[in-house]
Amino acid sequence: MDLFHYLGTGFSVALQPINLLYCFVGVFIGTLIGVLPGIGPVGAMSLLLPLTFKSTPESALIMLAGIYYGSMYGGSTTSILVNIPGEAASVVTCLDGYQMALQGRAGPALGMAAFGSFIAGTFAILGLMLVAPPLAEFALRFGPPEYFSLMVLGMSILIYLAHGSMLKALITGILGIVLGTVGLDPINAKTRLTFGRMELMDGVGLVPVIMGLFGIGEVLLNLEQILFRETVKTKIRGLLPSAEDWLESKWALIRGTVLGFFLGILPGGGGVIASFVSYALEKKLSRHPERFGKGAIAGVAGPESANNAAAGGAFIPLLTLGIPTNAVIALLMGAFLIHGITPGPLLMKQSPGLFWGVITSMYIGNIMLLILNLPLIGIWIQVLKIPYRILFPIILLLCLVGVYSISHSIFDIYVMIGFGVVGYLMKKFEYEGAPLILAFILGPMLEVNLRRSLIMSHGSFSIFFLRPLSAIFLLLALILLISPLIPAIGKKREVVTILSKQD
Amino acid sequence: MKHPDLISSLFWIVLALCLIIWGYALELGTLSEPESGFIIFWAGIIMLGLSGAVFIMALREKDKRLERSRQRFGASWRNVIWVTIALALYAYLLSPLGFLVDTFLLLFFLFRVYEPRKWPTTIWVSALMVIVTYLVFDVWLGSQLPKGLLDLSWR
Repeated sequence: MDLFHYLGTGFSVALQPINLLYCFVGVFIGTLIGVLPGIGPVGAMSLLLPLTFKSTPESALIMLAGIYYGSMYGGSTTSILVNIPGEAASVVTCLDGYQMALQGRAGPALGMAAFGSFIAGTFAILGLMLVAPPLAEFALRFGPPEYFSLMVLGMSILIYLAHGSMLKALITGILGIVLGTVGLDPINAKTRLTFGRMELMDGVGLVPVIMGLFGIGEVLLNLEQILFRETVKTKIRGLLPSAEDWLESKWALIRGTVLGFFLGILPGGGGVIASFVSYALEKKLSRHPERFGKGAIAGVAGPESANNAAAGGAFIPLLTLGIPTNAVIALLMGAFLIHGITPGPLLMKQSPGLFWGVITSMYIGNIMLLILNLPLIGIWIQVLKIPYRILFPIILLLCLVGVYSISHSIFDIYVMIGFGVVGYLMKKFEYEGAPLILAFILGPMLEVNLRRSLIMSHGSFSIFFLRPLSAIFLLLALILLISPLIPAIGKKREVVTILSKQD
Repeated sequence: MKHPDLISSLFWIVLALCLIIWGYALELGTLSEPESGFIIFWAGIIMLGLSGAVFIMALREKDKRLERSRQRFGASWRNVIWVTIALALYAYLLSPLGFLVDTFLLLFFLFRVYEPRKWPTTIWVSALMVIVTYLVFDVWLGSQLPKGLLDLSWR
């Protein structure tokens, strides 16, 4: 009964005309961003954050969430038509989607990607509604040691799932923790690592760091090469997949959805890993594995449903535990904080309208996406033709104005440019940005909970091992971190790394 | 050319040493009452260990990897350097020149640096983008972008 009551609350918020408008703007821009290579959902959400300052927290978060799951929809269009993924989670869709397009079956590929995304997105919201309330209730029992251990586990999962070297991911994670300590010490208000700059008293801003690493860094990297894009020239017709296509894809859709949802919950899991694992699973279980890579529709249905389900699942740790699982969710958490709301176990009780409003808006957003995606494919193809020489100055301009609008600080522009160069160099030297961002967000919470735990235990680390939940989290983290040393697991991880680098 | 991991690990080693010194200077406290430098100091120690491991592994790596890294650094650097300098100059001149003038100059440069088009096209496209951005962010959202030169001329 409670669930229906909460759903009613949610829909009463989500169906307000202004929130419907924000939801529409969010999913529209999300799809557009997903279509455009060179700017991902993190960059787009950072750029649009200032636009939400005048709105209510509900409208702001509905729009930002819409950008996230909308980008997952849009990413498939470029993968299928241009063989260039709009965002990382659509990399594997290129393998079979583009082949289908070359064979004149771009329509069914695009249609299956859209329907698969819709089905998976809807299931993920249902899962979110069922899992989030009991998890939030359970999380109320957590004390500082449990929170500390959970964050250690979260970072360990992210590092384990890093695309390249785990050592390098650990190093960037440590850098993120240190960046999070800049400013006033949360316990005794002593200044740390500010080097006499007043601007750093409140710490390094999340938005300049994210925009720098993922916006400016990406542009600098792309400027080194000429981006050449050629869309498939055959006319796209018959977007609805045939009965045979549905039969061939039904299990891929179901498996991709379930797998994506659970991988989305894991910190660091997200859409990228979900789509790769789904593709590998479908190829393994298929009666015709030789068709994969040559235009198998299950190779589109599985990964596309997996990355959308993962986008829904990723909201669970944020809304129930206050822990972001990837860079996009971290930015969403930043938006919560900017609007004076702390995500976590108390969110559901303190702001039920916001909590359920955001969740139910995803239902509406998914329906909007299905309606948007199919008839608007022609427009997305036109968008794809915008040359990079026009696109990159727009991205840079929006980054600059976006950062300045948030803080009115020229210092933050320098921070963003600095992190842009860092992001560029990190890509060159094969270091990942995601562990840095996650550790940067979790770092202050991790430090406070570590220090509080040690104060509680009078300096004994046994507090982390004597409390059962904390001990389980730490044990899991330890297993993850040492598992690559076990030859069989290490080899499997290497294979996944090579696969995910083939973009 | 040196192995890229050698260069990057050396950078991390230096940073780790700095963190150890900074953390120590901020006071470590005791285990029962950790002070402000505690986490920074230990982060430095762990980073030192990890970057040391990357350094040693890079020393042991074979030629194949080195060959790949050569290719990776073979691309053109010029655009990247020019755009970075332009962005830094933009930030430096934003207050004195103001948003409109400074942004127009930046956009004009950016449109010229990568596959340039004709001058008149570059000028009107830059001007149009500046005006649209100004209307959205300053007029509509009230972001109060710096006025700079234009503010002085109006007084």
